[in-house]
Amino acid sequence: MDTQTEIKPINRDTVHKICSGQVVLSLAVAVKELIENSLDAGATNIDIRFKNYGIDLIEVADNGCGVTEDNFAALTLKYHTSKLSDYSDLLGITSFGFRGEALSSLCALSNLSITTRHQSAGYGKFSFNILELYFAIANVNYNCH
Amino acid sequence: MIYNVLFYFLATKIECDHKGNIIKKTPCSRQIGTTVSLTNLFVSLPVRLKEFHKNVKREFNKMTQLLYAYCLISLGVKITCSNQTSANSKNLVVATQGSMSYKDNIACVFGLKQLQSILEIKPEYVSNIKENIFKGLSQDVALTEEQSIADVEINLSEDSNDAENIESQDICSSQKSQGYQNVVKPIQFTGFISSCAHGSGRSTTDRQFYFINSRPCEPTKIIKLINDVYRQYNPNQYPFVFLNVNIETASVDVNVTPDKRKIFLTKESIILDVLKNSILKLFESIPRTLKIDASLHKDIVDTVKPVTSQPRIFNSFLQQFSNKDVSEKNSIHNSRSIEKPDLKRKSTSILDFISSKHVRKVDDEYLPDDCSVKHSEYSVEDANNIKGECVSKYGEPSINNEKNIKNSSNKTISLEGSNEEPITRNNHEVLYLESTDKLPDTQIRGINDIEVQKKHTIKCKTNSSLLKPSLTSTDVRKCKVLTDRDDLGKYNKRSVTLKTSLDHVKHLANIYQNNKYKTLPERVKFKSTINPVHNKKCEEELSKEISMESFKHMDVIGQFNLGFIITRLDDDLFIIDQHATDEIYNFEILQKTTELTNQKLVVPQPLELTGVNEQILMDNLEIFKKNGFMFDIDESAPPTKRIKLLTIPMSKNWIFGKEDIEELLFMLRESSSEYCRPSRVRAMFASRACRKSVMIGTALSKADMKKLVIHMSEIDKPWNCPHGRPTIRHLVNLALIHVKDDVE
Repeated sequence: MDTQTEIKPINRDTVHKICSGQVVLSLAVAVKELIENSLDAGATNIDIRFKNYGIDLIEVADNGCGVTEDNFAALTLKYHTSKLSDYSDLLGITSFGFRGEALSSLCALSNLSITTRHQSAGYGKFSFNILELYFAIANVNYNCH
Repeated sequence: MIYNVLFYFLATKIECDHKGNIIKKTPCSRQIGTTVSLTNLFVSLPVRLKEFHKNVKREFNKMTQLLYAYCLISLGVKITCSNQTSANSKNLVVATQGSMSYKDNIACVFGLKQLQSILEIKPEYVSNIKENIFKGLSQDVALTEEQSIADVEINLSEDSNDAENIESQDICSSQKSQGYQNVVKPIQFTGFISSCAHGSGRSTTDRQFYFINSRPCEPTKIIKLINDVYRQYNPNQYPFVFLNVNIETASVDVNVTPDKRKIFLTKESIILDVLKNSILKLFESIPRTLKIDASLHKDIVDTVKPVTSQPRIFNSFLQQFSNKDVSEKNSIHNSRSIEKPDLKRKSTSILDFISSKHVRKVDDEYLPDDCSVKHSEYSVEDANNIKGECVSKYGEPSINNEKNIKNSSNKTISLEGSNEEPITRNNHEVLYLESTDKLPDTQIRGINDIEVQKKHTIKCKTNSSLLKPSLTSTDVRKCKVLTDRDDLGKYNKRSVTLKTSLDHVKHLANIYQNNKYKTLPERVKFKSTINPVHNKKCEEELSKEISMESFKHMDVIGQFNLGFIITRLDDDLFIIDQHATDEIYNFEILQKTTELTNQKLVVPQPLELTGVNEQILMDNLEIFKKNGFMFDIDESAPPTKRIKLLTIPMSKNWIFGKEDIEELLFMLRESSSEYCRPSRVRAMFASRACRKSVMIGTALSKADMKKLVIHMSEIDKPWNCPHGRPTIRHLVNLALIHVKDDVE
């Protein structure tokens, strides 16, 4: 009997699963990837929450730049990143992440949800109101004096 | 109110499936930024999931270690980490204040105490190649490029400015060779390291954080270098290290491993040089380190890496030395003496001297009286010499002698009448002995005397010198004693009175016959010899071959030298150190049963432990209580301030403190065991156990001995006393002895 089997490509979902297991080895790596994302987003405040040592929940919240709506689809896709587009960019890389595999790997290994708000969303109106409020208060103070 | 209306619905919540596709998008409220929530980590990998759940606390500790690295390196970022378990409320693991200095971050994560014991490493660029070479730096340059060594040597005579130029050229050339022709940027780094003063370091490497361009990583060579240098100054501890190296991104390859912890560097050797220089400089200027330490350290460096400090001179010296050494070895063949090279060299000169003198003496040999006088002189000299020479003399001089003396004294030998052959052979041995002055001068009076002595010295020779050419001085003395005239008579006759009967002989013959048929034991259980070098092997063998039960079956044969018990298990004889074995027994009992009494502190001491350590402490309160530590726990306080020390253990002259708690915490983190004791408590138990135990020199009854042996079966690790002395060793296998007899 000829038992030779055909050599054929692995289907994409399987590749995804295999590779993801290689990227996120432990809890430490999972958390590391999320912190690095936050730091790359320019956050100044990062809050990490665990429930039951990470068995129930791992949550990393930051005040970084956020993600715009048109990037949502690519956010959790494998090898999608904002950090580089060409290999030569790697030589000058300063961000922690660059491969575009962290979030997609975490997706494959766990139930992931992302809540994000980009800095452009409602930014102008917001600041205007703050200023108005500030002047209003200043005026009151001034008038008092 | 206006606000709420404005930023409502401006954020989006995305949920994804395992393939990375968005399955649900819901608008929600959030300030600018991102929150990523993971639930059911490793849900799609069942094996890893199980492993994760099983070791979740250890995994969590590992994660915090990594988290610390990010907390330390992130300037201006406030990182808060908390954990909530089902049992207790929210628990802060670590929190930084978003400060702009690394020092503040260190204080936030590890407490102010850590900050007080660390020093900043200032980059110390190698400005002077002279110094550089003498300190054993830039090894690669010295080793790989012959040319550069030549340059260096020339530079030694010139002023340092030139040297500086050359050095920078060196860097350039090495970069060119590696394919980088960019403008040379000096390596910059920020670093903090524990002071090398005694006790400022840590017992483990748990607080070492390395960064390259602010990226946490594990540069193994740098880690090794720093620890090595630190241990030269503080040999028993490891430093706290925070080191961030800034180099151009083009010379770094971060894309090596999936977790990006491994990094390749093109300029690694330069970084290592600068680092080493900086740390050495830093520690040199510490007033608290004794000057002696520093000089000692330099010695070490010189002897360990002399090649780099004085390349050429040393190499040639080394060659000469090794040549000499080889020739020496040839002449002192068989001698097992391990002597310092200096001694050896001295010995050759003495050897030359002696051999030259000896030739003269041989010429004089015809006049026995003169000769004997000279011999006596000789022996005085000899007394000062080391055994190496005694052996080396063996070579040439004795041969010379043989020729000369054969002419002179052959006649006398033949007079003696017994087989001529062995005596002529022995003749030369006798001469050897004479030439090495092992015979006292009194012997040589007349020809007849010589004969008798010769016969005797032959015996001496074959017994000791020939078999073991490495005669020690005591052996020499023995020879002298034996050749005294009084003894000669006995040895010549060789008469031994032996009381025996025919039955007795028969009986012995029977035993002999029986033994003859005894085959070799199927398996030799114990092969290791009693030698401190083989301690570990011995222990392995013993623990493999002897179970706790077998101690009970051991027969006590008797006491040896008032210090050792000889026991037998089947055919194997063992020697047991009576003191060591009693000590380990007492020690284990103390360790298991003692609960240290504690003393209350008037003012509770804040401990400043890291969040993880606080957690470990809270999980193991029982063990701490057993060791006499009690704590005041305030769970609502921020990390590092939650635990205060209430009581410390007191035990006669021993006082314990925070260091012992830290040690215990470390032990608990590595492996939690019921009988965790800090090393100082251990030391206290050990000294108490020692005083309680049977001393060497005490005569023991058989019952006492039996009791000691049985005690060995009741303890966990009977192989060593708490101070490390071995308790039991295998002496000999009786079956093997019988077999040996038969073979002979």
